[in-house]
Amino acid sequence: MIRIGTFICLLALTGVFYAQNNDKLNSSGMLTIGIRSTLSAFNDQQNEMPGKGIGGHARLRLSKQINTDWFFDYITSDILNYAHRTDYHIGWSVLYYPLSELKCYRIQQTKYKPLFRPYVVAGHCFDYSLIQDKADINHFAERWSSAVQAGLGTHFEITPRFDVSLTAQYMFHLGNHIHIDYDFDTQVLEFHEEKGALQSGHLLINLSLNYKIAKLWGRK
Amino acid sequence: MGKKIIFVLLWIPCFAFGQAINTDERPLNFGPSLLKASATIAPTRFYKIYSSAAMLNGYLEYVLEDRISLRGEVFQFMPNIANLKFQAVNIPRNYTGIHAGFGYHIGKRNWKHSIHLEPGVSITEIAQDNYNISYKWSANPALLVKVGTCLYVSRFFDFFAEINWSDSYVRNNPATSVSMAQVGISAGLGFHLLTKTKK
Repeated sequence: MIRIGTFICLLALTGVFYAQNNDKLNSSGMLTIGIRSTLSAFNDQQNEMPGKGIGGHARLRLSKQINTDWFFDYITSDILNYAHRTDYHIGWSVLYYPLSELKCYRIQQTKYKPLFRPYVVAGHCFDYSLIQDKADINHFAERWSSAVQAGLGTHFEITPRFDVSLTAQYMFHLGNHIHIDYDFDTQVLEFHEEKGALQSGHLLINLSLNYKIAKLWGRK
Repeated sequence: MGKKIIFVLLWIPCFAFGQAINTDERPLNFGPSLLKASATIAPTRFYKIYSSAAMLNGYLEYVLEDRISLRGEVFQFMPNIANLKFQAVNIPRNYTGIHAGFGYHIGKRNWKHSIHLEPGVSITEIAQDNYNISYKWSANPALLVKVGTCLYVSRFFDFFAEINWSDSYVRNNPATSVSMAQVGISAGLGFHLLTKTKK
Protein backbone atom coordinates (compact mmCIF):
# COMPACT_ATOMS: atom_id res chain seq x y z
CA MET A 1 0.00 0.00 0.00
CA ILE A 2 2.85 2.35 0.89
CA ARG A 3 4.47 1.54 -2.44
CA ILE A 4 1.31 2.39 -4.34
CA GLY A 5 1.03 5.66 -2.42
CA THR A 6 4.64 6.52 -3.19
CA PHE A 7 4.06 5.70 -6.86
CA ILE A 8 1.02 8.00 -7.06
CA CYS A 9 2.89 10.79 -5.24
CA LEU A 10 5.78 10.48 -7.67
CA LEU A 11 3.43 10.70 -10.63
CA ALA A 12 1.76 13.74 -9.10
CA LEU A 13 5.13 15.41 -8.53
CA THR A 14 6.05 14.72 -12.13
CA GLY A 15 2.90 16.57 -13.05
CA VAL A 16 3.89 19.53 -10.86
CA PHE A 17 7.19 19.90 -12.62
CA TYR A 18 5.82 19.34 -16.12
CA ALA A 19 2.70 21.35 -16.14
CA GLN A 20 1.15 23.12 -19.11
CA ASN A 21 -2.04 24.47 -20.48
CA ASN A 22 -4.03 21.70 -22.08
CA ASP A 23 -7.28 22.13 -20.23
CA LYS A 24 -9.35 22.34 -23.38
CA LEU A 25 -7.84 19.27 -24.97
CA ASN A 26 -8.54 17.27 -21.82
CA SER A 27 -12.16 18.12 -21.37
CA SER A 28 -15.52 16.72 -22.39
CA GLY A 29 -16.04 15.93 -26.09
CA MET A 30 -12.44 15.19 -27.09
CA LEU A 31 -12.09 12.26 -29.48
CA THR A 32 -8.78 10.40 -29.59
CA ILE A 33 -7.72 7.57 -31.85
CA GLY A 34 -4.92 5.18 -31.05
CA ILE A 35 -3.14 2.06 -32.11
CA ARG A 36 -1.77 -0.36 -29.60
CA SER A 37 0.46 -3.33 -29.04
CA THR A 38 -0.51 -5.88 -26.40
CA LEU A 39 1.32 -8.40 -24.28
CA SER A 40 -0.85 -11.10 -22.74
CA ALA A 41 0.80 -12.76 -19.75
CA PHE A 42 -0.09 -15.20 -16.98
CA ASN A 43 -2.57 -16.94 -19.26
CA ASP A 44 -4.92 -19.51 -17.80
CA GLN A 45 -3.89 -22.51 -19.89
CA GLN A 46 -1.21 -24.76 -18.55
CA ASN A 47 2.02 -24.31 -20.58
CA GLU A 48 0.67 -21.25 -22.36
CA MET A 49 3.37 -18.76 -23.30
CA PRO A 50 2.93 -14.97 -23.26
CA GLY A 51 0.91 -13.80 -26.23
CA LYS A 52 1.46 -10.82 -28.49
CA GLY A 53 -1.22 -8.75 -30.07
CA ILE A 54 -2.24 -5.62 -31.86
CA GLY A 55 -5.30 -3.50 -31.68
CA GLY A 56 -6.82 -0.11 -31.97
CA HIS A 57 -9.10 2.10 -29.98
CA ALA A 58 -11.07 5.31 -29.95
CA ARG A 59 -11.33 7.37 -26.78
CA LEU A 60 -14.19 9.71 -26.11
CA ARG A 61 -13.78 12.03 -23.15
CA LEU A 62 -16.86 12.63 -21.03
CA SER A 63 -15.35 15.03 -18.51
CA LYS A 64 -11.99 16.09 -17.10
CA GLN A 65 -11.98 13.06 -14.84
CA ILE A 66 -13.70 10.50 -17.06
CA ASN A 67 -12.66 9.09 -20.41
CA THR A 68 -14.08 6.13 -22.31
CA ASP A 69 -12.08 3.69 -24.41
CA TRP A 70 -13.63 1.61 -27.22
CA PHE A 71 -11.17 -1.04 -28.33
CA PHE A 72 -10.40 -4.06 -30.46
CA ASP A 73 -7.51 -6.49 -29.85
CA TYR A 74 -6.14 -9.45 -31.80
CA ILE A 75 -3.78 -11.64 -29.74
CA THR A 76 -1.99 -14.89 -30.53
CA SER A 77 -0.04 -17.16 -28.21
CA ASP A 78 1.55 -20.58 -28.09
CA ILE A 79 0.66 -23.43 -25.77
CA LEU A 80 4.10 -24.94 -25.63
CA ASN A 81 4.64 -26.57 -29.02
CA TYR A 82 1.42 -28.59 -29.29
CA ALA A 83 -1.26 -25.91 -29.70
CA HIS A 84 -1.76 -22.25 -30.34
CA ARG A 85 -4.43 -19.83 -29.25
CA THR A 86 -6.03 -16.81 -30.91
CA ASP A 87 -8.08 -14.24 -29.00
CA TYR A 88 -10.24 -11.43 -30.32
CA HIS A 89 -11.45 -8.80 -27.84
CA ILE A 90 -13.95 -6.08 -28.60
CA GLY A 91 -15.13 -3.91 -25.75
CA TRP A 92 -15.05 -0.71 -23.80
CA SER A 93 -13.47 0.68 -20.67
CA VAL A 94 -13.87 3.70 -18.46
CA LEU A 95 -10.76 5.63 -17.52
CA TYR A 96 -10.84 7.65 -14.30
CA TYR A 97 -8.17 10.30 -13.71
CA PRO A 98 -7.91 10.63 -9.93
CA LEU A 99 -5.36 13.46 -10.06
CA SER A 100 -6.97 15.57 -12.75
CA GLU A 101 -8.09 18.24 -10.31
CA LEU A 102 -4.57 18.90 -9.09
CA LYS A 103 -3.34 22.41 -9.73
CA CYS A 104 -0.44 21.15 -11.79
CA TYR A 105 -2.80 20.03 -14.56
CA ARG A 106 -4.31 23.49 -14.87
CA ILE A 107 -1.28 25.76 -14.73
CA GLN A 108 -0.80 27.82 -17.88
CA GLN A 109 2.69 28.11 -19.24
CA THR A 110 3.92 29.51 -22.50
CA LYS A 111 6.01 26.47 -23.42
CA TYR A 112 4.52 23.00 -23.37
CA LYS A 113 6.28 20.38 -21.31
CA PRO A 114 5.44 16.66 -21.34
CA LEU A 115 3.45 15.29 -18.44
CA PHE A 116 2.19 12.04 -16.96
CA ARG A 117 -1.52 11.55 -16.38
CA PRO A 118 -2.26 8.37 -14.38
CA TYR A 119 -5.62 6.64 -14.48
CA VAL A 120 -7.63 3.74 -13.15
CA VAL A 121 -9.32 1.66 -15.84
CA ALA A 122 -12.21 -0.80 -15.71
CA GLY A 123 -14.55 -2.16 -18.33
CA HIS A 124 -16.19 -4.97 -20.18
CA CYS A 125 -15.59 -6.83 -23.42
CA PHE A 126 -16.81 -9.63 -25.61
CA ASP A 127 -14.25 -12.13 -26.69
CA TYR A 128 -13.75 -15.05 -29.02
CA SER A 129 -11.03 -17.62 -28.28
CA LEU A 130 -9.82 -20.29 -30.66
CA ILE A 131 -7.40 -23.02 -29.62
CA GLN A 132 -5.95 -25.20 -32.38
CA ASP A 133 -3.87 -28.33 -32.36
CA LYS A 134 -0.56 -27.55 -34.04
CA ALA A 135 -0.35 -30.96 -35.65
CA ASP A 136 -3.84 -30.67 -37.11
CA ILE A 137 -5.43 -27.24 -37.22
CA ASN A 138 -8.80 -28.79 -38.05
CA HIS A 139 -8.76 -30.16 -34.50
CA PHE A 140 -9.77 -27.15 -32.42
CA ALA A 141 -12.00 -25.76 -29.69
CA GLU A 142 -13.61 -22.34 -29.64
CA ARG A 143 -15.45 -20.19 -27.17
CA TRP A 144 -17.52 -17.03 -27.26
CA SER A 145 -17.64 -15.29 -23.93
CA SER A 146 -17.85 -12.07 -22.07
CA ALA A 147 -15.19 -10.62 -19.82
CA VAL A 148 -14.50 -7.84 -17.35
CA GLN A 149 -11.20 -6.09 -16.93
CA ALA A 150 -9.64 -3.60 -14.53
CA GLY A 151 -6.24 -2.09 -13.93
CA LEU A 152 -3.99 0.94 -13.83
CA GLY A 153 -2.27 3.02 -16.45
CA THR A 154 -0.78 6.35 -17.36
CA HIS A 155 -0.66 8.63 -20.36
CA PHE A 156 2.64 10.24 -21.15
CA GLU A 157 1.48 13.37 -22.93
CA ILE A 158 4.39 14.27 -25.18
CA THR A 159 2.58 17.10 -26.94
CA PRO A 160 -0.84 18.61 -26.18
CA ARG A 161 -2.44 16.25 -28.70
CA PHE A 162 -0.15 13.22 -28.75
CA ASP A 163 0.39 10.73 -25.95
CA VAL A 164 1.90 7.34 -25.31
CA SER A 165 -0.09 5.26 -22.83
CA LEU A 166 0.90 2.23 -20.81
CA THR A 167 -1.85 0.16 -19.20
CA ALA A 168 -1.80 -3.03 -17.15
CA GLN A 169 -5.13 -4.71 -16.53
CA TYR A 170 -6.37 -8.12 -15.54
CA MET A 171 -9.14 -9.62 -17.62
CA PHE A 172 -11.55 -12.19 -16.10
CA HIS A 173 -13.46 -14.33 -18.59
CA LEU A 174 -17.01 -14.89 -17.48
CA GLY A 175 -18.02 -17.75 -19.78
CA ASN A 176 -17.12 -21.38 -20.04
CA HIS A 177 -13.52 -22.44 -19.86
CA ILE A 178 -11.70 -24.60 -22.42
CA HIS A 179 -9.33 -26.93 -20.67
CA ILE A 180 -6.58 -28.72 -22.59
CA ASP A 181 -5.08 -32.11 -21.81
CA TYR A 182 -1.98 -33.12 -23.69
CA ASP A 183 -0.33 -36.48 -23.33
CA PHE A 184 3.38 -36.08 -24.06
CA ASP A 185 3.86 -39.84 -24.54
CA THR A 186 1.12 -40.41 -27.07
CA GLN A 187 1.06 -36.79 -28.33
CA VAL A 188 -2.71 -36.74 -28.16
CA LEU A 189 -4.44 -33.44 -27.48
CA GLU A 190 -7.91 -33.28 -25.94
CA PHE A 191 -10.22 -30.33 -25.35
CA HIS A 192 -12.66 -30.20 -22.43
CA GLU A 193 -15.24 -27.52 -21.83
CA GLU A 194 -15.79 -26.58 -18.19
CA LYS A 195 -18.83 -24.58 -17.17
CA GLY A 196 -18.70 -21.75 -14.68
CA ALA A 197 -17.67 -18.14 -14.41
CA LEU A 198 -14.35 -16.49 -13.53
CA GLN A 199 -12.41 -19.66 -14.24
CA SER A 200 -9.88 -18.06 -16.47
CA GLY A 201 -8.17 -14.79 -17.14
CA HIS A 202 -4.98 -13.08 -18.17
CA LEU A 203 -2.92 -9.97 -17.57
CA LEU A 204 -2.96 -7.55 -20.50
CA ILE A 205 -0.27 -4.92 -20.87
CA ASN A 206 -1.01 -2.36 -23.58
CA LEU A 207 1.35 0.18 -25.04
CA SER A 208 -0.59 2.60 -27.18
CA LEU A 209 0.07 5.67 -29.30
CA ASN A 210 -2.77 8.16 -29.33
CA TYR A 211 -3.68 11.37 -31.09
CA LYS A 212 -6.49 13.74 -30.25
CA ILE A 213 -8.26 14.32 -33.54
CA ALA A 214 -11.47 16.21 -32.85
CA LYS A 215 -13.51 18.03 -30.28
CA LEU A 216 -17.00 16.71 -30.84
CA TRP A 217 -18.70 19.15 -28.50
CA GLY A 218 -17.81 21.98 -26.13
CA ARG A 219 -15.54 23.82 -28.55
CA LYS A 220 -16.27 27.25 -27.09
CA MET B 1 55.02 27.38 -56.93
CA GLY B 2 53.85 24.03 -55.61
CA LYS B 3 53.38 25.47 -52.14
CA LYS B 4 51.26 28.28 -53.56
CA ILE B 5 49.01 25.80 -55.35
CA ILE B 6 48.61 23.73 -52.18
CA PHE B 7 47.90 26.92 -50.23
CA VAL B 8 45.19 27.92 -52.71
CA LEU B 9 43.68 24.43 -52.79
CA LEU B 10 43.51 24.33 -49.01
CA TRP B 11 41.77 27.69 -48.86
CA ILE B 12 39.18 27.04 -51.60
CA PRO B 13 36.97 24.85 -49.38
CA CYS B 14 37.13 27.43 -46.64
CA PHE B 15 35.79 30.07 -49.00
CA ALA B 16 33.26 27.67 -50.43
CA PHE B 17 31.86 26.74 -47.03
CA GLY B 18 32.41 30.18 -45.66
CA GLN B 19 29.58 31.70 -47.70
CA ALA B 20 27.60 33.35 -44.97
CA ILE B 21 24.16 31.80 -45.01
CA ASN B 22 21.74 33.04 -42.49
CA THR B 23 20.04 29.85 -41.33
CA ASP B 24 16.77 31.67 -40.86
CA GLU B 25 16.67 32.64 -44.52
CA ARG B 26 17.05 29.10 -45.82
CA PRO B 27 13.76 27.57 -46.91
CA LEU B 28 12.18 25.27 -44.37
CA ASN B 29 11.31 22.00 -46.05
CA PHE B 30 9.96 20.17 -42.99
CA GLY B 31 6.91 21.10 -40.98
CA PRO B 32 3.30 20.30 -40.18
CA SER B 33 1.24 19.18 -43.20
CA LEU B 34 4.26 17.63 -44.91
CA LEU B 35 3.27 14.56 -46.87
CA LYS B 36 6.13 12.23 -47.72
CA ALA B 37 6.54 8.91 -49.44
CA SER B 38 9.17 6.62 -50.83
CA ALA B 39 9.93 3.05 -51.83
CA THR B 40 13.22 1.27 -51.51
CA ILE B 41 14.89 -2.10 -51.18
CA ALA B 42 15.64 -2.97 -47.57
CA PRO B 43 18.30 -5.62 -46.93
CA THR B 44 16.92 -7.57 -43.98
CA ARG B 45 18.23 -10.20 -41.62
CA PHE B 46 15.80 -12.68 -40.04
CA TYR B 47 18.18 -13.21 -37.16
CA LYS B 48 16.30 -15.97 -35.36
CA ILE B 49 16.10 -18.20 -38.41
CA TYR B 50 19.59 -17.31 -39.61
CA SER B 51 18.38 -16.09 -42.99
CA SER B 52 18.78 -12.93 -45.00
CA ALA B 53 16.44 -11.45 -47.54
CA ALA B 54 15.57 -8.32 -49.43
CA MET B 55 12.35 -6.47 -48.71
CA LEU B 56 10.56 -4.00 -50.87
CA ASN B 57 9.76 -1.23 -48.38
CA GLY B 58 7.33 1.58 -49.11
CA TYR B 59 5.83 4.20 -46.82
CA LEU B 60 3.47 7.13 -46.68
CA GLU B 61 3.84 9.65 -43.88
CA TYR B 62 2.04 12.80 -42.83
CA VAL B 63 3.52 15.28 -40.38
CA LEU B 64 0.81 16.30 -37.92
CA GLU B 65 2.86 18.62 -35.73
CA ASP B 66 6.45 19.88 -35.57
CA ARG B 67 7.54 16.67 -33.90
CA ILE B 68 4.76 14.16 -34.53
CA SER B 69 3.92 12.26 -37.70
CA LEU B 70 1.51 9.54 -38.71
CA ARG B 71 2.97 6.83 -40.88
CA GLY B 72 1.93 3.66 -42.68
CA GLU B 73 4.27 1.28 -44.40
CA VAL B 74 4.60 -2.03 -46.13
CA PHE B 75 7.42 -4.57 -46.31
CA GLN B 76 7.15 -7.12 -49.09
CA PHE B 77 9.46 -10.12 -49.02
CA MET B 78 11.31 -10.72 -52.29
CA PRO B 79 11.82 -14.48 -52.15
CA ASN B 80 14.20 -14.74 -55.07
CA ILE B 81 16.71 -12.48 -53.35
CA ALA B 82 17.21 -14.45 -50.19
CA ASN B 83 19.63 -16.69 -48.40
CA LEU B 84 17.37 -19.04 -46.48
CA LYS B 85 18.96 -21.60 -44.23
CA PHE B 86 16.39 -23.99 -42.90
CA GLN B 87 13.82 -26.38 -44.23
CA ALA B 88 10.49 -25.23 -45.57
CA VAL B 89 8.55 -25.38 -42.29
CA ASN B 90 10.95 -22.94 -40.70
CA ILE B 91 10.91 -20.12 -43.21
CA PRO B 92 8.13 -18.30 -45.02
CA ARG B 93 7.53 -18.57 -48.73
CA ASN B 94 5.78 -15.22 -48.65
CA TYR B 95 5.94 -12.39 -46.15
CA THR B 96 4.20 -9.04 -46.11
CA GLY B 97 4.44 -6.66 -43.18
CA ILE B 98 1.79 -3.94 -42.90
CA HIS B 99 2.31 -1.35 -40.19
CA ALA B 100 0.83 1.93 -39.02
CA GLY B 101 1.91 4.17 -36.20
CA PHE B 102 3.42 7.43 -35.11
CA GLY B 103 6.85 9.00 -35.34
CA TYR B 104 8.68 11.51 -33.17
CA HIS B 105 11.11 13.91 -34.88
CA ILE B 106 13.94 15.97 -33.47
CA GLY B 107 16.78 17.87 -35.07
CA LYS B 108 17.61 21.00 -36.99
CA ARG B 109 15.49 22.77 -39.59
CA ASN B 110 15.97 20.46 -42.55
CA TRP B 111 17.82 17.60 -40.93
CA LYS B 112 15.58 15.50 -38.74
CA HIS B 113 16.16 12.35 -36.72
CA SER B 114 13.17 10.23 -35.86
CA ILE B 115 11.92 7.23 -33.98
CA HIS B 116 8.79 5.38 -35.10
CA LEU B 117 6.66 2.87 -33.26
CA GLU B 118 4.33 1.00 -35.59
CA PRO B 119 2.15 -1.95 -34.58
CA GLY B 120 0.86 -4.04 -37.46
CA VAL B 121 0.46 -7.49 -38.91
CA SER B 122 2.78 -9.80 -40.76
CA ILE B 123 1.00 -11.87 -43.38
CA THR B 124 3.00 -15.00 -44.03
CA GLU B 125 2.73 -18.14 -46.07
CA ILE B 126 4.60 -21.06 -44.60
CA ALA B 127 4.88 -24.76 -45.45
CA GLN B 128 3.03 -27.35 -43.42
CA ASP B 129 5.47 -30.14 -44.30
CA ASN B 130 9.03 -30.54 -45.49
CA TYR B 131 7.99 -31.66 -48.95
CA ASN B 132 6.49 -28.28 -49.96
CA ILE B 133 3.13 -29.95 -50.61
CA SER B 134 0.85 -27.68 -48.62
CA TYR B 135 1.22 -24.09 -47.51
CA LYS B 136 -0.89 -21.98 -45.19
CA TRP B 137 -1.35 -18.26 -44.80
CA SER B 138 -1.56 -16.52 -41.45
CA ALA B 139 -1.89 -12.95 -40.17
CA ASN B 140 0.27 -12.42 -37.12
CA PRO B 141 0.43 -9.45 -34.74
CA ALA B 142 3.67 -7.57 -35.25
CA LEU B 143 5.53 -4.58 -33.90
CA LEU B 144 7.92 -2.40 -35.89
CA VAL B 145 10.39 0.02 -34.31
CA LYS B 146 12.52 2.17 -36.55
CA VAL B 147 15.13 4.82 -35.99
CA GLY B 148 16.22 7.05 -38.81
CA THR B 149 17.57 10.28 -40.10
CA CYS B 150 16.36 12.39 -43.01
CA LEU B 151 17.85 15.35 -44.82
CA TYR B 152 15.24 17.50 -46.54
CA VAL B 153 17.40 18.91 -49.30
CA SER B 154 14.74 20.73 -51.31
CA ARG B 155 11.03 21.45 -51.49
CA PHE B 156 10.32 18.03 -52.96
CA PHE B 157 13.22 15.71 -52.23
CA ASP B 158 14.88 14.20 -49.20
CA PHE B 159 17.51 11.60 -48.42
CA PHE B 160 16.70 9.15 -45.67
CA ALA B 161 18.34 6.25 -43.87
CA GLU B 162 16.57 4.06 -41.32
CA ILE B 163 17.18 0.97 -39.25
CA ASN B 164 14.11 -1.27 -38.92
CA TRP B 165 13.46 -3.85 -36.24
CA SER B 166 10.28 -5.89 -36.14
CA ASP B 167 9.02 -9.06 -34.56
CA SER B 168 6.07 -11.40 -35.02
CA TYR B 169 5.40 -15.11 -34.68
CA VAL B 170 3.97 -17.50 -37.24
CA ARG B 171 1.97 -19.87 -35.06
CA ASN B 172 0.04 -22.01 -37.49
CA ASN B 173 2.87 -24.24 -38.60
CA PRO B 174 3.13 -27.83 -37.35
CA ALA B 175 6.48 -27.34 -35.64
CA THR B 176 7.33 -24.77 -32.99
CA SER B 177 6.16 -21.28 -33.87
CA VAL B 178 8.58 -19.43 -36.09
CA SER B 179 9.88 -16.01 -35.14
CA MET B 180 9.96 -13.41 -37.91
CA ALA B 181 12.25 -11.17 -35.84
CA GLN B 182 14.26 -9.09 -38.25
CA VAL B 183 16.62 -6.16 -38.55
CA GLY B 184 16.95 -4.25 -41.79
CA ILE B 185 18.14 -1.05 -43.36
CA SER B 186 16.13 1.24 -45.59
CA ALA B 187 17.77 4.15 -47.33
CA GLY B 188 17.29 6.22 -50.41
CA LEU B 189 15.62 9.17 -52.01
CA GLY B 190 12.25 10.27 -50.68
CA PHE B 191 9.63 12.62 -52.03
CA HIS B 192 7.68 15.14 -50.01
CA LEU B 193 5.31 18.02 -50.35
CA LEU B 194 4.03 20.63 -47.91
CA THR B 195 0.30 20.33 -48.41
CA LYS B 196 -0.56 23.55 -46.60
CA THR B 197 1.26 26.82 -47.11
CA LYS B 198 1.88 29.19 -44.24
CA LYS B 199 -0.11 32.41 -44.43
